[in-house]
Amino acid sequence: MSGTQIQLKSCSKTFPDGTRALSPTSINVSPGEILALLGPSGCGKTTMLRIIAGLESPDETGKVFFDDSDVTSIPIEKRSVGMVFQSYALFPNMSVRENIGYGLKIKKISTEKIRDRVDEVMALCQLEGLGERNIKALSGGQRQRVALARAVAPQPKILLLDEPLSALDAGLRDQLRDELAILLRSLSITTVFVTHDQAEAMAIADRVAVMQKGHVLQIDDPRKLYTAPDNAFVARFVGAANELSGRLNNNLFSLQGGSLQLPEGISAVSDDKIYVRQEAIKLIPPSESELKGKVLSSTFLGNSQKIVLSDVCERLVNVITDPFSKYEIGQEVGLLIQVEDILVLRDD
Amino acid sequence: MNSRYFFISCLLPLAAFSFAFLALPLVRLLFASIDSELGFGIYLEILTNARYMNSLLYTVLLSIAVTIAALFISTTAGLFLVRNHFPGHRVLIAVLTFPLAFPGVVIGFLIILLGGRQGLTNMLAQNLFDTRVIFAYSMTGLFLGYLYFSIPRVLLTVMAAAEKLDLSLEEAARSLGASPTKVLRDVILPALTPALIASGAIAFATAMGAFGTAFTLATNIDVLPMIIYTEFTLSANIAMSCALSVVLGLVTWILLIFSRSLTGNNVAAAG
Repeated sequence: MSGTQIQLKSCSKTFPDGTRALSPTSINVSPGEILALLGPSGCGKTTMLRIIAGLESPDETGKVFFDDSDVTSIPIEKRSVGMVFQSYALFPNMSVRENIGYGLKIKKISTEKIRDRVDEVMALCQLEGLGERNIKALSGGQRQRVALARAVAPQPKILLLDEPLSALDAGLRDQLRDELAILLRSLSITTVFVTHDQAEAMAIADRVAVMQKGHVLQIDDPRKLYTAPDNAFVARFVGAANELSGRLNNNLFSLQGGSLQLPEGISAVSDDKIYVRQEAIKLIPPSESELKGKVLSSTFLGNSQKIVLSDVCERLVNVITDPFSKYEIGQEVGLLIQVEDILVLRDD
Repeated sequence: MNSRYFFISCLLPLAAFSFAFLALPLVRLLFASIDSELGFGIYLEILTNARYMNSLLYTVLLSIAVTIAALFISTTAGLFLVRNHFPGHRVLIAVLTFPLAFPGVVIGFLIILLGGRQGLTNMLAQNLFDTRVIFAYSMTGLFLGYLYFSIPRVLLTVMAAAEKLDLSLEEAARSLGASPTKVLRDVILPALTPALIASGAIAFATAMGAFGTAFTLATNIDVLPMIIYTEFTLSANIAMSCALSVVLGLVTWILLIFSRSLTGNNVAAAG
């Protein structure tokens, strides 16, 4: 794939008041790759994006490379990055066309070439016919697309998006998420985007970096992240995982609601906790299982249903199952968990 | 019906105020201005009198110059003060807004202390270069005095607007390659425009009608308020002073409307 490689070499960020937004971090983004920075608010993901953009400079030891050139001390206006802001930051005193053409105008490109390129980008972002509109007359989804069109119009080396969908309401967000994923893939620009929504990260990104408290905990492709999380935080943040606490004794894991036979060699489990995905638990008649729980509630979700169980362990256990089996509240059920679905994780 | 009476009763104070303080005096002023043998011809007299017309021109030019200078200085200072925090920041802002408390007479004194015959500049010039520098009793002195009391009015409005600027707009412009001057031209100034028009209008209107400073500096500076004063007290030409007042008000009002129409109808609160 064509594109620019981004390298961060031990970039950290300490603000003047002493707060550490980012611990020393080194990451590589391959040419043409789409990387998501995923984490709760305050995890340092936006700081990392702003360091790549050139809006923040890393602490002294840190270095930022675009391909082989060190851009650490180059300000954003000379880095050739396209950026989409959370609030979109469209210029209110300019029309849609002027907004999209602004970066080209700054580059002193001829009026005809600007017009052609703006037309091209507007077609790509499905904005035909909106060129003369005022920014205030656009819907949320249209604004988002104008912000993206403006960022890509000058053909930047890399594209950076800060929570590109969070300003939209839920229904629209799901639709635009898929559109954005298709569009970003067709652009094949090296892209880094920040989100706190794991579904968004998984839908759009080639790889996801899960961040917490200024650290990158794991960088992997979405499937790997889901099936083989490195630690409990990643397991809980990327797709919900049930935490089951109990006591381990000779590969027999005893919980409040019974016991589970764990495979040999799993005895290294710390804190006596194991993790299981919601859809990895099958509900079977209680007589067929050593591990039992009580149905606390069932919620019909259309293509599935969510059962909440009590009395399995201290915490409630969520199970996603087929939508049509009937479960009465208070009913006793058995839990079937395949050994390969049990995640044994370092605690965070 | 009840709510309608309530609505009308709420409008009463506004109506009373408008009548007592706006309509009545203005109508009275207009009647007083034609209460001579000239009648409405007094306005023709003003138009054909070179002294009056020159004075009006000077007043307008001076006010425009003061407004532009105040806008320029206050925008620069206001942006700096909003963007940079340093020890003594609050004190500096307090000092800069100090002239608001002074009447025109005091500002006149200050200009004389600075540029008068016994003023600081003149003494320094005499001692160091053996020349005389006196500017207090001229248009220059008046310009400086007006500028001095216009700056805080503009500065406070500009600072309030500058604090509300959306920083991500500036970052967006920079990400598209805009240099700091282009960010200023394309993002910051357009966003500040409503505040600049509002505060510029106040500065302009205040300068047009300012009297105390001119009166303190000299009686031979021909700004229109001075002429009105002279006609009223020295010549006892009440009709002419009223007519000149009407002209001063009208010209200021028309220029303010014109300046607002230049940049769209987005200024609600202006002087």
